[in-house]
Amino acid sequence: MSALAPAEACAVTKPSHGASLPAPPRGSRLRAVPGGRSRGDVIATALARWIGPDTARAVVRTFSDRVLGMRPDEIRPEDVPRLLDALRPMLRTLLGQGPAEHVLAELEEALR
Amino acid sequence: MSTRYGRLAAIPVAGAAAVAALAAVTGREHELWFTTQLVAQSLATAGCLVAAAAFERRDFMFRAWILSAVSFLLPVVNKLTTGPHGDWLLGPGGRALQVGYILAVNVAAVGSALLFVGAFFRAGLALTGSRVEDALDVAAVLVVGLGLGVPTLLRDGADALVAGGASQAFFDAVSVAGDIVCFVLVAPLFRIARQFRGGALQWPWGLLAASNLCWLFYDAAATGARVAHSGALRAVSEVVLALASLCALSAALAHRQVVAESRSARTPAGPPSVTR
Repeated sequence: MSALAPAEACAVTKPSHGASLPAPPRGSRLRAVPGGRSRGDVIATALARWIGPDTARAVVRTFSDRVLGMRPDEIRPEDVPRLLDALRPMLRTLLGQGPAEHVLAELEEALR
Repeated sequence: MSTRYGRLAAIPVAGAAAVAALAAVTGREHELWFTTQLVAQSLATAGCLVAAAAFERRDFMFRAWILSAVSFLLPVVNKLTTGPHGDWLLGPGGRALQVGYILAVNVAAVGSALLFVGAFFRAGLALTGSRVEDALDVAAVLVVGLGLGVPTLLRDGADALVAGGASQAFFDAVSVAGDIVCFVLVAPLFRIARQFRGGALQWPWGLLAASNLCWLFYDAAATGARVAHSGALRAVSEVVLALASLCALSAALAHRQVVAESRSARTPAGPPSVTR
């Protein structure tokens, strides 16, 4: 059996939102302060509990890129709902509708 | 958290050890195998139904677990119908019924395995790996799946032709064919489990992969026992059957546990510190 691919190589398909959205402007005001965590890190940490840390980081990175056109550490508060919407089908499939909504609601609350 | 899942994963090992111990203590009687099969597959059926109940009807995984439950329930019904000395020969039913029954069992098993692999892709994820890893997967499937399954299938098929119809060999042949397909799905199931490594979902997928792998070994041991009239091989096949069934039970309980935990999950991180 194959070894797990490194997170950098983990592919994600079918984002639920269009991938052709224009990238928002990137500015230093969006970056995490030293010692702080980016919103991408928060989401990846939450997902890691279910799908493992490597795949969670890859999922956040890929969906951030395709749906928002930005890196996980550039996610702004107003981007969070779109990213969580894009993650919804994955969580619904693997955890079921109810638990998926709970996980997403918790994430939305944590990122508010 | 992992301790809880580790306990679930110990169920198949403990169950198989119990069957082996029973065989050593009580002898290798039809009644013993009838009972152990009935218990193991009934537990697997119940486990799959419990896992399905953790989901809503519209959930994808609900269908996967229901189909898995059907694949274990049908053999249980058959055993209850035929008793300890019967096998895939449903009483006075016609040959079409018998053939349809065994086909239904295998279609349910294959369909269930397909849904578990499909869930990963439906979630928007994709298997990753280097060319070397892909080649190793193919090699493993060819060596174990075809190397073990095809000779068993050929032997069962030949015996079925000699017996001329709905013989035990015919049912074994259909079963082996279904299990070979299931085994082809073992590689992606294991790869999915590995991609979930470190997450709770690695347990249901990993245990399901182990269950499907065990079924192929069961086929080889059962056919070997039939051909060689070997009581020892029969005992091995029954231990492996218990292992396969109880791996499915553990996978189902693990998935139910994952769903239960996700219903009450708290995101620990809190608001990130960002400059505005």
